[in-house]
Amino acid sequence: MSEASNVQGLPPARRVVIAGGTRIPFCRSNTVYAELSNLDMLADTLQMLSTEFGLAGKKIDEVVAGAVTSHSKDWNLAREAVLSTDLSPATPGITLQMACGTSLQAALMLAGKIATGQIECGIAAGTDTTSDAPIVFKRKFARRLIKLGQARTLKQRLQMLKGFSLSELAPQPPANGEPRTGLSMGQHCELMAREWGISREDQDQLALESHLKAAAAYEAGFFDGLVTPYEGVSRDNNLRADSTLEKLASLKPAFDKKFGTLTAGNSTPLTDGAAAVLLCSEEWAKANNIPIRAYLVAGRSSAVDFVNGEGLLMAPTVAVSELLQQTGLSLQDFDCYEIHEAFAAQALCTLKAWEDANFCREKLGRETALGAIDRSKMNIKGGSLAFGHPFAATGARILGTIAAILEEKGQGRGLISICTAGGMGVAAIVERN
Amino acid sequence: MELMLTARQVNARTAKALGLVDQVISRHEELVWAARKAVLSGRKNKGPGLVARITNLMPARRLLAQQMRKQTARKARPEHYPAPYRLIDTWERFGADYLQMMRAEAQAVGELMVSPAAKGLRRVFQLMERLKAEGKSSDFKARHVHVIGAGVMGGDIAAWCVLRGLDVSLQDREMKYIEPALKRAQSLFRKKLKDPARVSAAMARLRPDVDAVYVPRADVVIEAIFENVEAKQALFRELEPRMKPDAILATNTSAIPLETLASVLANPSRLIGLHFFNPVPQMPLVEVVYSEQTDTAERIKGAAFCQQISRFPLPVRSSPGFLVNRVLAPYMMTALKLHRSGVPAEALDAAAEAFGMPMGPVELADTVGLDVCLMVTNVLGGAEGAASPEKDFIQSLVSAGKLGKKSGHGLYLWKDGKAIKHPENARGYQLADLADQLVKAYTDECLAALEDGVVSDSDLLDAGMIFGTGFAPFRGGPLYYLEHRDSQAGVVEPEDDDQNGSNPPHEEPEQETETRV
Repeated sequence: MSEASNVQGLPPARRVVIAGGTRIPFCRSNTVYAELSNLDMLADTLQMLSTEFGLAGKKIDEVVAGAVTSHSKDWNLAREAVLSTDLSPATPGITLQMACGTSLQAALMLAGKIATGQIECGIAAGTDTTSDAPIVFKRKFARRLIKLGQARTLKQRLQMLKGFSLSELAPQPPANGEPRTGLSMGQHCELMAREWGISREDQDQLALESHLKAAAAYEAGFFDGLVTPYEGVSRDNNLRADSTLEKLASLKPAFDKKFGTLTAGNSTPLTDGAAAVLLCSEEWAKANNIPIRAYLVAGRSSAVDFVNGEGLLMAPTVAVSELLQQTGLSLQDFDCYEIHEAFAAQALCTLKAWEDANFCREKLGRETALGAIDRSKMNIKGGSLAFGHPFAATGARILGTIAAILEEKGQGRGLISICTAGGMGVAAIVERN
Repeated sequence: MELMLTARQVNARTAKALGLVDQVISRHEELVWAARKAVLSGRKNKGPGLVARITNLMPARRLLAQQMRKQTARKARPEHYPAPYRLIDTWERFGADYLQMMRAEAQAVGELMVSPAAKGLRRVFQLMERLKAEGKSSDFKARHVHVIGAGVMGGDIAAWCVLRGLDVSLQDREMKYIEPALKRAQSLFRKKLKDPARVSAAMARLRPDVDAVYVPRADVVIEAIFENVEAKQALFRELEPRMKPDAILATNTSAIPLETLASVLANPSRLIGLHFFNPVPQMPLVEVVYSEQTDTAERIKGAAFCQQISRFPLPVRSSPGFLVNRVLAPYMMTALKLHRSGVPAEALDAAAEAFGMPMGPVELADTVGLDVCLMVTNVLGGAEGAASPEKDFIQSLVSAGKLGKKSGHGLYLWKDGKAIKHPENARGYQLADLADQLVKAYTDECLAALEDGVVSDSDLLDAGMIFGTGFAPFRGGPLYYLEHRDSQAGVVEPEDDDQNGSNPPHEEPEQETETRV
C-alpha cells in the first residue's frame, strides 16, 4: 500500500477524483442492441450516469467521448449525445477517437485539465456498435454523385454518367483490420502468439478464468452499481458462467485455420455497448455530494513500429514501462491489474514480454526485466474476454471497474493497460487511500 | 375507424404508415424545429390514399359498416356500450360529407358524453388513476426479485417480473420443479417479445435458484409455496436474517392470515401480502395485504413495487378472502344454488353477461377451478364455508375429478378451452330476474366487506372489483351501481329468434375475469 504523494505523475496541482462509472450491459453484435445506434447507446449511458450522480441540469465542464466504428452523420457524437440527456445544454461535448483506447484517453485528457485547474469536472465515455456499421459507396461512385450534384446542365449531367459500371455500386463495409498491413487484428495476434510461443491451452485457460471471475463477480453483486440494466438485458450476453476448458478446447481456430491457436472462445467477439466515467476535482466532489471512489494519478500512451515487424498489440508494454519510469514504481507495486484482453494471446504476450530480459533491454531500454505480476491480482472481476469489447467503451468500463475494486479493497493502487489498433497502447495508474 | 372503435394504440412508426401523422422524428431531433421547418417549407398533408378514398364511397361504406357492427358486437353489447355503434352509424350516413359528419358527430358526442355509460366509464378512469397513485409517495425501486415456489402462481409471478425488466431468481426444492415454470416463461416471452435475442435476454434474467443464493441480494422476496402454515413459517424464519434490511418481504397466500405468518419474524411489521390473481399476465390487480401490525411504509413500498411491474395495487386489510375472493364466493354460490334448483347454467351465465359481466358465474367457477372454489369457501368459513348443499355439490364434483376447465369437465363440458354451451337452455328464463339475484349476492357482500373495513372506502372497493373481476365497467363499480341503478341500462332480454346462439366466443380480452387463489 502506498501514498499517492510518492508518485510523480501529473503536475502536483490537484488530485483527480474518479467518482464512478456506469455502463450498459455489453451485447454481442447483431443481438439485442442490433437496432440501436452509437448515439442512442451513448446518450442513454450518459443519462444513466447523470441519474446515478444526480447531475440533472448541471453543467459538466467537458464530456469527451467517441466511437471507433462511426457514421459520418455522427461527426458531433459527444455533443449530440449530451443534448439527448438531462445534463445542462451548456455542457460541451468533444468527440475523440483513439481506437480501443478511446475512453481511457478521454479520461486522461480530462484528468490533465482537472489537475491543472482548467476544469472542475468531466465525463469520459465511449460507445461502439458493429451492428450499425456504416456501409459506404466506393470512392469512385461517391465522387460521381458529388459531381452530379454540382452539374448545371443536362449535358454535364450525362457526362458524369460516362464510364459508369455497376461494380461501383458494391457497398464497402468497414473492415476490422489494419489498413497498412491488410491483416485483421486476429491475424496480427496469431503472429504475436507464434513469436512469443503462447500455447492454445494457456489462452483457453485465461479465457475460462475471465468468464468464471466475471460470473462470480456478478453473482456477488459487484456489478450492481456498475452495470445498469438496459433494453431488457442486465448482464453481458457474451458471459458464459458454464464455460469449461473442454468446451473451449473444442473450438476451431478462427484466423489461421491450419496452425492457429486463436479461437472464438479465447478472442473477444464483436460487441455493442457503451460506458461512461465521471471525473472531477476534490472540491467539486465535495460541493456536489459526489463520492470519491479513487484517484486517477497518471497515464501514458505509446506506439510501436508494427509495420516493420513489431507485434501490433505490444504497445502497452511500452506505455506501462514508461509510466513506471515516470512514477518511480515497479511493476510489482500494484494491488490490482486491469489488463485488457482483446485476445487471450495478446494479454499473455504482454505478460511474457515484461518477464523477458531481452525484450525489456532492447525494446524498453531497461537493464533488467520488469518481471512477473501476481496473476491472482489480475482482472479479478473478469476481463474483456468475458464481457466483450465494444472498442471505444472498454477504457471507461475498466476505469469504472478498477475504481470499484479499490473501493471494495478500501485502499490500494491499480494499473490499467489497454492495447489499440494501429500499434498503440494506453496505460494508467489509479489509487485509493 | 378501427383505431377509434377499439381504442387501439399505435406507435409513431405505425401512425406514419397509416397516414395519421406526416412526419416522425428521431429521439435525437427536436419537435419544435421539425415543425418550424415543415411550416416554412409549406409542407402539406397528402390526404388519404386511393384505397381509403374508395372505402369511403357509399356502397363500400354500407358493407364495411355492417362488418364493423358485427365485429364490435363481439366485444361490446349496444345496450351497454352505445358509443361505437353511434360512431359507425354517423360515418355510414354522412361519410361522404365532411361538414355534415362533423355536425352529426358533435351531436352524438354530446349525447353520449352525458349518458350513464360514459359517466360509469369516466369513473373507471378516475378509479384507475386512484390506484395508480398508490405507492407514489415511495421511491422504492426493485432490481432483483426472489420468488419462492415455482408452481403456477410463483412461476408466473417470476416470469411477469422478468417481462417488466427485473432480474428474478426462482427458488424451489429441486430443479425439476423449476423447469416447467421456465418453459411457461419462455412461451410467455416468445409471445410478448417476439425477437429471439430479446427472448434469450429475458430468459437470462430468470435464474433458477435451488440453493436460495440470491436471497441476500433481492429487493423483493415473494413467497408462493403451497398453503401450509408450518412450511411457510419455517421459510420466513430462514429468510428474514438473510434479507437486505430494506427489502420487501411478501407472501402470496390467500388462505393464511398475515398475522400468523408474521408471528415468527423478528420484525413482524415488515411482512405484507402481495396477492396476485391467475393468470398473472392478464390480471391487472394485485391485492396488497396489511394487518394491524404491518408497517405502513412496507405497505406503501409494496404498492410502489406493483406500479413498477405495471399492476394496480389495491390495499386490503388481512381478512378471509381479502376483497375479491370474498365477494366472488357468495356470487358463485348463489349461482350454484339457482343451478341446483333447476336453472340451467346457460341461463345464469347469459343473465350475468346481459348485466355486463365479462363472464357468467358458472363458467367463471369452471375457469377458476372447482377445487380452488372449494378451497376459497373453506377459507372464508362462516355462512359460505359451513356445510351447505352447494359445498357438498362441489365437493362431489371435485372428488369425481371434475375440476372445471383444466380437467375438461366441471359444471360444463369443455372442449379446446371453451365451454360447450347450449343456448336453447336459456330460453324462456327471465334474465333480468336472474341477474338481479346474482348481482344482489355480489353487491351485498361488497357492502359487508366495506362495513368490515376490508378496504378503506367505496372507491377502492369499486376499483378492486372492476380490475379484479371485470365487474361491468360501464356501471362504474358495484357500489356506484347500487347508487345509480335507476339511471343505468337495464338487462335486455334476448329476442326470441336467437341468431343461432348469441354467445360470441371470448377473444381473450385484456382483462379477464378469471380469478384464483
